[in-house]
Amino acid sequence: MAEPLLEVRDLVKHFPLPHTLLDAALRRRPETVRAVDGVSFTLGRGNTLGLVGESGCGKSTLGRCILRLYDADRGEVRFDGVDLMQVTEGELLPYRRRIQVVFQDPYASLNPRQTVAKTLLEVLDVHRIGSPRERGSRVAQLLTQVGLSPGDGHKYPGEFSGGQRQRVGIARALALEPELLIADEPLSALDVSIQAQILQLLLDLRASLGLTMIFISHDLRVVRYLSDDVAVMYLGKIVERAPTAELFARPQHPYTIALLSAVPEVGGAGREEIPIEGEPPSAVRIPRGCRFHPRCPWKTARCLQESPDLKGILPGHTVACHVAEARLAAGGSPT
Amino acid sequence: MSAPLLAVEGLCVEIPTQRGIVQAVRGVSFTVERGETFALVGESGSGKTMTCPAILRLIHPPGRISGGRVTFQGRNLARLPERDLERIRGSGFVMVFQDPMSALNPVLTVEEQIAEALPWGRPYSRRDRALDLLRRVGIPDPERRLRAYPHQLSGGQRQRVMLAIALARQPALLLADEPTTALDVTIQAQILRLIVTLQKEYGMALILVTHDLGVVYHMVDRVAVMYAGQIMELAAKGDLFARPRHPYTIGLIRSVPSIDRRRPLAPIPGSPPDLIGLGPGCPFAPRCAWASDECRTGEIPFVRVGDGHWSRCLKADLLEAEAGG
Amino acid sequence: MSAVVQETVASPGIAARLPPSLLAGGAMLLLLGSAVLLAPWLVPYDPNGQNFDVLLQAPSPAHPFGTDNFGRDVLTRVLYGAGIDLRIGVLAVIFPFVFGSIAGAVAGYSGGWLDAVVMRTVDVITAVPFLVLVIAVVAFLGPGERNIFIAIGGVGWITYSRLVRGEVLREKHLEYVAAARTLGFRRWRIIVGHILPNAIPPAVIFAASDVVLVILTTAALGFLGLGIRPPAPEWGMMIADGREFLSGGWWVATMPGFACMYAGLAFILLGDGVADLLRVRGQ
Repeated sequence: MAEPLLEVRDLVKHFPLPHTLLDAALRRRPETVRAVDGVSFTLGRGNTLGLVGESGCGKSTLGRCILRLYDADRGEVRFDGVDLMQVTEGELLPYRRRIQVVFQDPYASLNPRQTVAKTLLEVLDVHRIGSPRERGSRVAQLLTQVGLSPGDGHKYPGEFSGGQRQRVGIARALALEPELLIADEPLSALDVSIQAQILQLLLDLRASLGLTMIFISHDLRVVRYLSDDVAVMYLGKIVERAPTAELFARPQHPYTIALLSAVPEVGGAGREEIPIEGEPPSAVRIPRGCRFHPRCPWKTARCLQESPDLKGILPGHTVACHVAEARLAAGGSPT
Repeated sequence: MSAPLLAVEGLCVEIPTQRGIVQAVRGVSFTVERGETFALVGESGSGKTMTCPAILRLIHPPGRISGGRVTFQGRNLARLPERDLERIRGSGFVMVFQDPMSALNPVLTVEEQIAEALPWGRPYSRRDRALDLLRRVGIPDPERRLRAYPHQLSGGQRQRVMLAIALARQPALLLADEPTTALDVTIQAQILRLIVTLQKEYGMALILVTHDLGVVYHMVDRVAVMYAGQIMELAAKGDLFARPRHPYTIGLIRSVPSIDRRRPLAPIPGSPPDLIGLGPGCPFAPRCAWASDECRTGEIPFVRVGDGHWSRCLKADLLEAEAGG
Repeated sequence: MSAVVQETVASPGIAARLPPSLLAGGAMLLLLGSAVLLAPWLVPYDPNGQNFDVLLQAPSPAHPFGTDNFGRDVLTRVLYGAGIDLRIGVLAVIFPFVFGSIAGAVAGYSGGWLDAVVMRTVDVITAVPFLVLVIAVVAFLGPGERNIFIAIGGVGWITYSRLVRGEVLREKHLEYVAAARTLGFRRWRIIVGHILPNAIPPAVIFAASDVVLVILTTAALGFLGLGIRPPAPEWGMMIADGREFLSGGWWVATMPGFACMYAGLAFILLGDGVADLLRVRGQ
């Protein structure tokens, strides 16, 4: 494999909870939300990694750490060989241009008081891309590229539907011709028929622009369409990663299997079902041992004590589970 | 055949705004039988969310019910005085909302809120009854949860408490407005399983309002697909998915991504219409591949296309061959 | 620039689309303003000219608002007083508005020690009642228009910084701010160009009613002998002086009171209109 575009190593981001003088006086321990708790992965140029998990699993925080919206506590984010964690805020500008993001909420992610054209022009202006005359036509071109008409430029975000606003958000991200696009739940605020439109748009743009993407989503169905590889996160850690087809055909981690069986699918499923009970524990009190063990139907004594590492158990397929490996060796194909 | 549990005929809801009158619900008719599960499916602006409060006569001004008739257990709700309506809302049918945090009272404990919903004059203590309800909805550690306030519960637990409150009156009909949309997928699966179990146990009918065809596929008996305030297609679930007879239904089914078969997505082009000043003709025509001139001008009748299968489409017959693919 | 951008400039007919309350408030202020400027030609009297032949005369064609206990024409004094009161009202609001908004925005966006310093200062000032503090400052610096500005400005900014900071705290967590950061926009551009336009409307609306409060504060200071020095016609002082003659000459206090109400109504309508104008388009 060629040099990866992005390499994340042991990334950790904890958020301290408010610790007041009263807490200190009562000798309460300061608590932290362990949002991202040691995540490593690589992403090759032109590939798309789907990052899946339920709310609170740290997938969005991970995305924001890569974007340097949050400063991670520990670890490395190597982009094209450079560790972004070591780059100062002032030197970050060229990297901002190369890494862009599409946000979840098309209502909150656009400044409501700027016309769409102004929003896009400002981006080109700040990065001094093209002459003022060229910028105008570039705006028109960007709008066309995302399926809007150049005349839509003088509308305000409030005059668009959710789907159209998400198109504007995508145009803004593309304005800088980024190499890496992080899409943070770009579809979850949209209606089904509009979701499909935006998903199609992302597929088309990725093909025509050769984008490398991290696609963050809670919806496994959507991830399947867009990703080459999928990483499943649970409570701040990646618990399984595999090429997309492989993951959907032969999921190994009990949490992945549970997620897959929980998706209400149109049409019969016929896959192994693990209906898990209970709810994920809070990221403040992460269970000892394997963090999934309180909800796991397969748990053993070892799971209560020892946290499993990500291990390759099939070609290109890594899983963090003590039991999955043994099950696979015993020939108990989970499907 | 005996009369249905609920009959809705020609229901209309209007909401005056600064720009004009939004016609949120435009002549919706359907029936729900005892113990049946019925789904209202649609996207935002389809009128599905407005239909349930309109049935309960709970539309807040300036919105108003501008037409239609709702008959519940043989009684016309429009003719009932507010006092009787309140009684029916409590015991005849109840509603479970999308956001249980705002539907629960933040300053009352779980026990107080369930006890409030319990009918008077039953021979057992309210506390035991509340505890029993919490057990039935699968709340872990129910004794402790009785004293909890809504903010101390997770989203899934709040929705379970909402269900416990709903069940306190042993209603004949449960209206659930996107009850799992705010929840994570594994929790959603738990709550949906719970609703199905409780529905059987209590013999309730259920109207499920949702945007998720996957949920519809697993939960319900009959489906009404709504668009621009109208029911576009009404059918038994099996018929709807196997033989959809409205272009919007077909588009919607093809827009749903699938885990198993990697069929290409076929998004519906365009966006839903403005609900202010809707003209004659089919509201879906601008986005429809089959639309012709008569679709844009004429009144579109709701025609029977099969056994219990209705479609509001002039081309419904043409679609039959198409639908198999 | 291209056509796309040029067309964003407002098209004709904008006056027709302005909020009616803005037009009404604006028209009322315009009327008052021109009456003040044209006062020497509108009324034949000197605002401080005493005439002991016409003491405490009821409103008549010669003196539409009547005369006071020195025989001065009340209408004349109300018009000249408007100049003083409007100047104080507007100027003593602009400084706290600008300074308070910036302080609140920077504090809210930056957080940390900067926020702590600004907000603790605000807390300290809030701890003392507004009027008491203003009186103390004026008593210390001495009466006069300039010192009134300093006192009201030095105390009044805290309201604006509170309002703006609260809005900024809400806005800065919205995704458009995160988007601006990932696009490489500098902090100053994000605060001034993006957050402030979305955070400022409540402060603007408050400013309109604050003008009225400032006029009343000035009146209170005048009442205590710490305001504008007599015999300059200032509404607050006129009301205070007229209080003694309420039974025999109700117009002496009532007419400047009506003027005060008129100005207050005009500013509140104006604020309402500005709020309408600032409302986000399409929502």
